[in-house]
Amino acid sequence: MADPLHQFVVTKTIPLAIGGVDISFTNASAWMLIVSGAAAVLLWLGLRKPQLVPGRAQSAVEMLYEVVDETIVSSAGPEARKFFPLIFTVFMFILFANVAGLLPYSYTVTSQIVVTFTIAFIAFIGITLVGIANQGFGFLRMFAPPGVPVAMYLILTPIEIVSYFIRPISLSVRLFANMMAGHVLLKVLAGFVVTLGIFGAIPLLVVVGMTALEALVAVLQAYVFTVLVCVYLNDALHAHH
Amino acid sequence: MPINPPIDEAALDARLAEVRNARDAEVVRADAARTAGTAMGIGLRIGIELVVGVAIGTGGGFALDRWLHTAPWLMILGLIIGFAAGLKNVFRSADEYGQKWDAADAADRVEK
Repeated sequence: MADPLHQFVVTKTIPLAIGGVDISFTNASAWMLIVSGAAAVLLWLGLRKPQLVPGRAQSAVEMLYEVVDETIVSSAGPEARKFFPLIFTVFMFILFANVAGLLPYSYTVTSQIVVTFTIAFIAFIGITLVGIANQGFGFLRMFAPPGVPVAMYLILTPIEIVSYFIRPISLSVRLFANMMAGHVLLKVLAGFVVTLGIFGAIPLLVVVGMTALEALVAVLQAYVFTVLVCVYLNDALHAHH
Repeated sequence: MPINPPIDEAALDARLAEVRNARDAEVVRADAARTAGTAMGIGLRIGIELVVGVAIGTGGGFALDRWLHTAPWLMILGLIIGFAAGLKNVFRSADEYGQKWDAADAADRVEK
């Protein structure tokens, strides 16, 4: 049976090292370029000749715009709109990377924790800075919820601090684990199709269903990531009540 | 041929702001109703919080133990704090959905 983890191996397409630092162009880099390019091409096609009654590409772009805009407004309020470009970029990149990962022979960049963690970490640092800029030191009050006896702060504050700092980790692990687990499961089940001979029809059916489920998960995960970034942004913009 | 009346920019801005606010309010309301539907989204979101909390708490405690030679105490402490932090995140998101559901219910009742 084929190795189900083989699909996640990073291979060097163009080996490159500058000053001992390995900066090779890999298959992962290639797919990051491809998905960013695909997103850019869709946006360009949709907005090339904007019309009052939109065509197909323009409709798609407008829907994507509205999904992100509504997510931002409903989760973080209208004043969070000024962060729209970053949040939209994150959403489009993850969405395209997840969906492109479903194509045969493709590479799922979001199945690498280094990719998802980098995105989550950028959002986390940015949101923390926004919080400090907005609320000053009052932002730290988040770690000491009001209305509890003073002695409780000894326990509560470490818990609040840990729960704040695991946010980027849970954000990135959620995305990477879902993408990786789905792809491994698909590959393992697909392996059974060959080894079981005539009975391989059963896992084949399951794989067909799983593929549909994976398509749903790919889109949903991009959405969940965006929603959570907005929810965290909400904490930074509005003081705790 | 009719001549366009002079544009009162302030009035136009006020009208634009009004429409925008109405739309934003509508978005918040629609989202409250929609969120109630995506149970899978909620499940995907909450499931991992607890796991990561425990893993990071324990791992962090273990690393501190190796560094400070205090095994196994910081790991035990980290496990407890990580578990609590994970639970706190779970409760936080559950609470958020609860509020949205309540808002959707309230909006429904107003309509009926």
